Amino acid sequence: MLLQQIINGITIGSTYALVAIGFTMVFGVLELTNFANGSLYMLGAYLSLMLYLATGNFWVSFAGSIILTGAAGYLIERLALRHLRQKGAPKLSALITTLGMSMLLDNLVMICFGSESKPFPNKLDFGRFTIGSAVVSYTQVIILAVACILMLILSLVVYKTKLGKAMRCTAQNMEAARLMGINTNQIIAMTFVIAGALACISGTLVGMYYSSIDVSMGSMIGMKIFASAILGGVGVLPGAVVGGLCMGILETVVAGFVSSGYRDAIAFTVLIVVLLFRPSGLFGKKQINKV
Amino acid sequence: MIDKFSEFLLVHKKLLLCLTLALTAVFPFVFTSQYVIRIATIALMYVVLTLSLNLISGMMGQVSFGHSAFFGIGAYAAALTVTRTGLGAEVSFLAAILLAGVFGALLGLPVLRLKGYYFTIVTMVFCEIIRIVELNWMSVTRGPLGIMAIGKPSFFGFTLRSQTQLYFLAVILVAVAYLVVHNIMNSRIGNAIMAIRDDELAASSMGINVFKYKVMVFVIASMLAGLAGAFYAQYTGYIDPTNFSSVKSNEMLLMVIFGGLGNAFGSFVGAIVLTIIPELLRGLSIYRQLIYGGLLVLLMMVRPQGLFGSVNFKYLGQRMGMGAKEQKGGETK
Amino acid sequence: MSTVLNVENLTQRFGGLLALEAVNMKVEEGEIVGIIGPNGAGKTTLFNCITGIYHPAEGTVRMLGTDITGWKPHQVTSLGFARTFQNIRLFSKMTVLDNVIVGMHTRTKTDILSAVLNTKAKRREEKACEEKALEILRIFGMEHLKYEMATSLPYGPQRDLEIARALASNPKLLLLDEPAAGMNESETESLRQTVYRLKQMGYTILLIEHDMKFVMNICERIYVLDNGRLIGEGTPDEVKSNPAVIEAYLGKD
Repeated sequence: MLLQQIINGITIGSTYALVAIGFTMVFGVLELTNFANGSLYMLGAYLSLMLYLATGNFWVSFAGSIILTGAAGYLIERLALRHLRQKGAPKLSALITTLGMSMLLDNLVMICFGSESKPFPNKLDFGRFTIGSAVVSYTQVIILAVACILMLILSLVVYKTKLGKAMRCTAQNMEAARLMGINTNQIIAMTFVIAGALACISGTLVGMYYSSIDVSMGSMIGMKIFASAILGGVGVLPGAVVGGLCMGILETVVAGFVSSGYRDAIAFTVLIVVLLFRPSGLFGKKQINKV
Repeated sequence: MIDKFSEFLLVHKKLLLCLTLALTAVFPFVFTSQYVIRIATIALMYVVLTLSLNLISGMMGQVSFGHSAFFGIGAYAAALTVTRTGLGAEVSFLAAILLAGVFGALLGLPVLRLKGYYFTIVTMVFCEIIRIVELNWMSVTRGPLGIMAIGKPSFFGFTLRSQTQLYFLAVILVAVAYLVVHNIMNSRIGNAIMAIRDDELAASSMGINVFKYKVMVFVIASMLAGLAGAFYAQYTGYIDPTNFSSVKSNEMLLMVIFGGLGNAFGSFVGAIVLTIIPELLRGLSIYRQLIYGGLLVLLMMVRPQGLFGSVNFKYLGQRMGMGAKEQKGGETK
Repeated sequence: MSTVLNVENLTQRFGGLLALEAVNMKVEEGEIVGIIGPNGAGKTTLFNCITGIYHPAEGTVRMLGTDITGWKPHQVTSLGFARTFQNIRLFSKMTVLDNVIVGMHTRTKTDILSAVLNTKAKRREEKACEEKALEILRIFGMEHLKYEMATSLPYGPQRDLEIARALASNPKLLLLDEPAAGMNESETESLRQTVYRLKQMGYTILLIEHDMKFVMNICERIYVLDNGRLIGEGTPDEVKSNPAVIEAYLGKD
């Protein structure tokens, strides 16, 4: 029973982790809490489904949806946030802008496709196997594998490539990065594209896992993503993954053994308690005040 | 344009203040529609919420996404006091203020030590925790069914029944909230709060106990939100957890930012305008949220600090006062 | 005369880096003492340890005999130290006058209840504060700028305002972190006069400075830091002829 809960938790957690990586990357570079992340996740799932219904080829639709959601992420940055940065607007107005964007996206999708939940085809249904008393579906294995592979690739990109170096420079000091000849706008745009693509992948996988999607899935996951990211320590990629997995396992275990009603409340309380002991999250670094 | 308008407001301050007060007083007698009075009352309640949130987020710079948690705690405290004990509103309002204050301290004491954006996310998460508790603690809150038939507020045996009477109660609450915020901001504590907003480290080097003031302000703002919650519960007579979700918190923050962070006058504008706009858009029901989101993005593009965010009326007044004096001096020579 | 500041065996590490190593120093009442040293010598770290921004790893800091090691900045300030910052940290959205009034925080008493009720005592205190603040601004000839926003001032006056704000707490020791940084010659000269005037008014001052001429002109005693260690101390003349100091500043030939 416990094993089963943990396995389900890891599956949910890996979808949180995927979105949280995108969130934490944007946060790392801009110190911006991106509210639109959950909406991109929902948008990605819808685009995959709609393209599939139109074309009939799932994998092509999935790829197309990843590109389109990445483009949506880019547009949020290009149309609004860049403009705010150039004006030197306070960080809060950028945050509010993403909140507005999230409302726009959620309602656009709702007006176009309706608010009722939609059946979603599971193309990863290759059966299931058992470990002891726990039943594991191959869908779950694939979700976890995708999350791990993407995390590895992104970690390599961020810590080993020139693009990653430029990202880390921009995160530390945007002005200095620009003076060193880094096109910071391009780097930031790139981060948004990656965040959008990850959200889309996660949304589509979740759609397949539950075999249905609805408009509110974005706002449901939004807070979980924030919680995962700060639990791991914002700006730290492996932190986002561990944070996401912890949140996932915590909530399924609580739901299974304590109370399903209080599930999220208990998971969030644990988060607050962890922050009391580790104010920068599990993997966040303590900063020294520069005077 | 806003600067010119602000100067205009200041120059005619006394006249405009009298006009506003007169208008507020005759409003329910001129617009006798129950619907209009109701919207005005709700707008006033939002002024209380917006002012108190502005105190934390605008004046002290600690952005909270969880204000509706305290609004909800106040509402449930008042509703339970009234329905379970039958005591008057003087008790239920007090219970709401105190309980919201206690929860403000409970959250603020551990969490206000965290860095700014951690604080922001934790307030959001706290709001969700409170909503889930409201939703699941069936024996006390009746969960999703909500609490029904909460009696109208009755102070020392005198019950406020009509829309007009309740409207004036809201006016009084706004006056109280405004005086609290205004007097705090115009004291050494207000100076300390603004210093914390501008530079925490420099503030602590000036001898300001940053943490103490953060907690103090957070508790006061929570108490004011609790007060608004008590009013809401007894005004509508029915509450359920959906009224206190993080969506409501976001709405409150939007009002603060729309009017301008750190500007009390802006909070009036933000709360009133953003209560009326959704009502006007009611006919467009499904496009409502869409338009709202679009307006928000547009506002940030045009005025990222909100309408009056870059205006400080006290300073503007001081400068204009000095300018006027110099002019006078010039003339007498 | 009493010892205002007494630092003993102060050590500070950042990770593996030894930023300060067993520093000993003293400031007597009424003195102007300078700290010099090359970039990265640990001067500002020393200030931060004294004023409570950093928690020193070892050693003690005493103010007029009270051990204040590990105190929080606001506690240190309430007891009598006040400082300025190397990179100016004024309250940017407040006026010149209000910046100075914030500096008086430790000298005022209005509590939250009297503030909310706007009591007579509160208003009286406020009025007194404003007068006192104007008096301080007058020392710097900035009275006419009182309603300007702090950050709209030119560079020199911003530096002055930081000193004015620090003075407002009526400190027993004023710590100035590179007050002449980024100033041209005439601005430096007027700063020198200001510091001299403050000395005449009886203030005790500890200052960090790069500008050797400035320090030699004004300080009675000088400490020289290099790589976190104290390599010399004494009167300006003694320091000038100290071979270790010359080596640190000019390098080995």
